[in-house]
Amino acid sequence: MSEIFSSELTMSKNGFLFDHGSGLTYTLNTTGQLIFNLLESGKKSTQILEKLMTEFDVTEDTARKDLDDFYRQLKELGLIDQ
Amino acid sequence: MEKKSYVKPTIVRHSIGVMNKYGRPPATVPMSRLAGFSVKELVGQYGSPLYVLEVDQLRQQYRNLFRAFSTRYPATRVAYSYKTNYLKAICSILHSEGAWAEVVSGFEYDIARNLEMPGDKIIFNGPYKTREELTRAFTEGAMVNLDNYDEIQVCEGLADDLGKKLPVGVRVNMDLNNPPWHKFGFNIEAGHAYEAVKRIQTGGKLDVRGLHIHVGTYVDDVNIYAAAARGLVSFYTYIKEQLGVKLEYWDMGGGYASHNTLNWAWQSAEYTCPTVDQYAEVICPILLNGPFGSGDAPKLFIEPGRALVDEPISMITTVVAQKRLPGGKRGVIVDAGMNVLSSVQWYNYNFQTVQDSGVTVEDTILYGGLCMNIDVLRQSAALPPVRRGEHLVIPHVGAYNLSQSWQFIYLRPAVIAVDDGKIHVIKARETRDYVQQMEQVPEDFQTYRSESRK
Amino acid sequence: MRLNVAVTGLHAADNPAPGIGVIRCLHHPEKWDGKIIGLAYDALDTGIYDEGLLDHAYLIPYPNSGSQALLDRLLYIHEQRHIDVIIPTLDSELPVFQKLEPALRASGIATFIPPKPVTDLISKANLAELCKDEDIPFPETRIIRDPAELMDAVNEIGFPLMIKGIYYEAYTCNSASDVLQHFDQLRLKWGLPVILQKKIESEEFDICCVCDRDSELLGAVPIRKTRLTDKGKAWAAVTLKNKRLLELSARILKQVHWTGPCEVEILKDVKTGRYNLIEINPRFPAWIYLCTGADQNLPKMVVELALGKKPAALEPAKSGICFVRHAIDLVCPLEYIENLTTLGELHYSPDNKH
Repeated sequence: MSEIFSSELTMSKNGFLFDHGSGLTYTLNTTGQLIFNLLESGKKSTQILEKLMTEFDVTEDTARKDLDDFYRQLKELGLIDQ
Repeated sequence: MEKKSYVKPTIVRHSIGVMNKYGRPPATVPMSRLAGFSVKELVGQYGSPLYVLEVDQLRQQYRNLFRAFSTRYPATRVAYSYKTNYLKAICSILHSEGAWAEVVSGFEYDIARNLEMPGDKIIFNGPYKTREELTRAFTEGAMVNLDNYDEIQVCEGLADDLGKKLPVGVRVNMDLNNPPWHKFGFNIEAGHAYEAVKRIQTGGKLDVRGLHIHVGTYVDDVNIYAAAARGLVSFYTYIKEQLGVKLEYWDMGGGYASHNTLNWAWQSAEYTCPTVDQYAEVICPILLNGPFGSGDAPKLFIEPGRALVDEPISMITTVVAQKRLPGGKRGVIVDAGMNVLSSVQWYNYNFQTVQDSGVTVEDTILYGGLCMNIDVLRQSAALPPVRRGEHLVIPHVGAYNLSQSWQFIYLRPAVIAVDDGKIHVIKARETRDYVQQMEQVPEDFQTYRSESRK
Repeated sequence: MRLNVAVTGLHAADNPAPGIGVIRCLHHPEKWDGKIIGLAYDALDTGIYDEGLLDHAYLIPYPNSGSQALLDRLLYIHEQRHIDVIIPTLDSELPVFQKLEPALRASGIATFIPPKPVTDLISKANLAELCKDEDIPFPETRIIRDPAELMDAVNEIGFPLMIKGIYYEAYTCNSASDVLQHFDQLRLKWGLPVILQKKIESEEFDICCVCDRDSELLGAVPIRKTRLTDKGKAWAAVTLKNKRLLELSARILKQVHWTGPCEVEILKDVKTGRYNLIEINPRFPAWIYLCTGADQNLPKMVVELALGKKPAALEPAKSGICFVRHAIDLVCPLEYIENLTTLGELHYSPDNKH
């Protein structure tokens, strides 16, 4: 469990995420699941970006923008603190 | 190693309704091609936003409507309601199919004549017609439906000037359990319509040859048309008996709905929009029971606009930005504003993705690109993730959006027509010169120029 | 033959949908021998979690997602489970099932619902007119399509009056301010028109009915509601023996060419003793299980009618049978909700088709 998250989170293999602290649930799509797992295992933004670019057919620019947007959503949803 | 295809990462909080993606939400089915062409390529060539007319579909709409009415009431004529969309190319296509022109201003009348529509295939309606416009219309043999007493007086004066009795129609209204359209014509229940016909016949300068009614706009309850048809029949029966009026035509007007869902409707237009056959089926049999013998039926005019042109035209827009609103809802801004999509005040338009964005949808508010807070194209739509530069297609935008568009801070888009695999530009994208061509800056106002050049 | 039946309307919360009642009827007197497939709109539709009622639950798209989206989903489920009959139980679903009926039939899925022209005829906006033409007693009613006409109509009808949304909800109004408050609320929620109806001092009766394709009334259970929620939903009721109610229902349904199940609402004017038709709801009522309690298992009859069979004639419903609605809390693991949310389906039963 990475310290990046605000409370204990469990994600199923289908991308169903349960927040043990708030009781709220979420769905992540496959790319979202991959990023979540990387974050959970303590990977840094740059490592996640690299991983996205090696796994997927995507430009660095798009991946970076999407990743920023994804972090913003996590923050907006109160799942990460900083 | 082959790389996997990429979708934008998403996380969506569960709430009632939004998460049910089973049975693919229609907005997520990619519409990469429009009228046989790649959406991306159309935008590349003609810019965004872009209106796209499918000519074949427009012809089909006309033929289907004409068939529905003329098979049930053989003496049917369709007069296209110009105000819905008076682009010259669109009017020309409909005229080539046999449509007459229904105009509601001198400007529209002039458009029709300029397209070489003969005067006797133009119906001139509306509450405001100038004396000059009326003179032209009567001289050229147009059908004129009178709206008020002031107009009757003007026309009587014209009859004197022209030295002949002028044939006229009378616009009537009645209580149809719909928002009443009392603005137009003379009310039947209050006796005003009878008084008007009597007054015209007694004056001896005009002769009532037609009755005109128009029950509303986007009327999806066919019973209202049935009531209007019954009203016309009983009113005709009465004026025939009392005043000896013999009609050459009755005009049921327009108002027929299209497959767009109204903002306040609970059910989708897919289930509520009647077919043209359903409209014809209630109207024609009632009128055929009117007070006339066989072979002596008045002509039936119908004046569709929306039902013809709404569905054959789509708009392509481009996403320019997206943002998170306080509270977490997603906002998407596109490059078309309500100035070129004025019907957003009535319709919940569908926004269709062009690229495959997966099936995960999120509740989204769609903003137009105008620098105005009210420029909202749809308050709530279940949309998959989209990015800046991607396109959305809005189907069924042909009615009113062009004729009611206003030029504001951006140049208005081009309109292209796809006909038999060929693309024609039927209205070019505006230019700054075009927008400013009627303007002048008087010499006196230009001093700043020389000053600033000093 | 073991038949698989799919049922919608599984959400039995404060305004309960009829689906769970329909399924309980199918399980009476013993467990249905085919599969029962629940069709839900949300992972939290309550009935999904009443273990033992369903063999499978699937999420389906809302009717306003368009008929094609629903058809695709139903055909997917059909391929997985084989559906013999679908019983839709919500008013809002009728238009889409009417539209899909031929396509479903072509795929071997039967339904037994009233056709569109018939339901158009009995819509709240048209019923008053129809009753006038057919000489069926009906309370004084105004259909308000234009807010400007509202107060004139209110003055004509007088207080107290009922104000009703075009699809759902009704309130009693005793003053102009009541009317204005509810009018805006109903208009925003359900759209125009809004219906005003004279409120008569009356007793209400409801009759759950099923007609065959010739509009003959094959089953009918009249009840009196004995306890209502603040929204006017039945919380307790008792079955009746009342010939006049049955005769009036039969006459009305014959006149509108009814096919399928419905709930007829009738008000008896306490002053004149006259029976007034109020509404025909084009589906089973939420209290449908009471019919089975009164020895008329109408959902089973609808399954037979859907398959084109001629059902055995029913004895008149037993009077004096009661129901009391009772809310209980169902407990389930989060995985159930996860399955429905992420995969759109949940299986209680092993994965065999028949």
